[in-house]
Amino acid sequence: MPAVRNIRLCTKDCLCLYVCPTGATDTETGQIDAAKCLEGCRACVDACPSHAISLLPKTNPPPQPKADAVRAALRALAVGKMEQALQADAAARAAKDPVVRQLAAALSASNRRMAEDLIREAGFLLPQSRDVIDVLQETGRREAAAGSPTDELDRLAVLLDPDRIRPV
Amino acid sequence: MPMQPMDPDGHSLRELDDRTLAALFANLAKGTEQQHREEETGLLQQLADRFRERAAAASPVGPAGIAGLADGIRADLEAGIPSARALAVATADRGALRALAWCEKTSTILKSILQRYERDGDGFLRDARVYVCDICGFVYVGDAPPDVCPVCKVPKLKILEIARR
Repeated sequence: MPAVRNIRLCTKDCLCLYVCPTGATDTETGQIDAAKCLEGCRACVDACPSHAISLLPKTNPPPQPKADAVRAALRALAVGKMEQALQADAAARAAKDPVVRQLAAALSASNRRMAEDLIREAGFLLPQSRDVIDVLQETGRREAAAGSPTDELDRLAVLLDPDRIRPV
Repeated sequence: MPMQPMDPDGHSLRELDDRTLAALFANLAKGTEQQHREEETGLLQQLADRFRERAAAASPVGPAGIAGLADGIRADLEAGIPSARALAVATADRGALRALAWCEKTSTILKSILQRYERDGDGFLRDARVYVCDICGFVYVGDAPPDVCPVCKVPKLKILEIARR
């Protein structure tokens, strides 16, 4: 994977332009041109005085093991927070007063962030992991049995397969 | 909540309901976005939307409106979070402890906002802005959010204003 620039950290010192052997760092979008970036070069990463450039790893180690009881407990909490978010959404739709609608929208967003964080910590930290693939495949089987489309689930099960060698 | 059946090699927790899938796919989309993987991000966002809509359609609306949220928060603070923390401590799971610490702080803030809303009505909101931390869910009611989120310590550019409309 190529080097990537966090444009919010970039202080425009432009040393990355001097050290890049292929001109990949000089683009109109502010991002580094992945097609020109040399695998493993990292000259721009080391030259950048504001630490705005990093290398995306090509592969990741498998996630740390996690106890089933912890996963189940975090998941139960996540379900509760999602349910709260849905209830807040319903309250927002039903509210006539914009102030109440705003509060309900904030409660929904807050609960959603908590649910997402809890489910992530329940064994789904890394997108490219066996547990994610298992969920995609299991959900795909269930959706297919119910006659629902599974195109996205099928495609993701390929794209996120940790054993797949990914092109740069 | 009943425990899901799990297989012996730890590849359990496969069967997730629509609500959980919505949260999972939304979070994975954020992860792949950070990885600059655009196709994955688009697909995961589509799935998150689809499962969220389906969950919303299946979720019976409580009669109490916003006030109805207080019971769930109390249950999390009094039972769900402490029991999950005990399990995380027993297995020295620092990541789970981190998530539970954030969840407890944010839930406590939501609880106090709901208590105030119940007690005083929406007067404290009328002339204030409302912000939610996009990382941990911290809610701020006031003029300008803090420079750093007091719960997760992310810089304020990730603390987003909720518009009044």
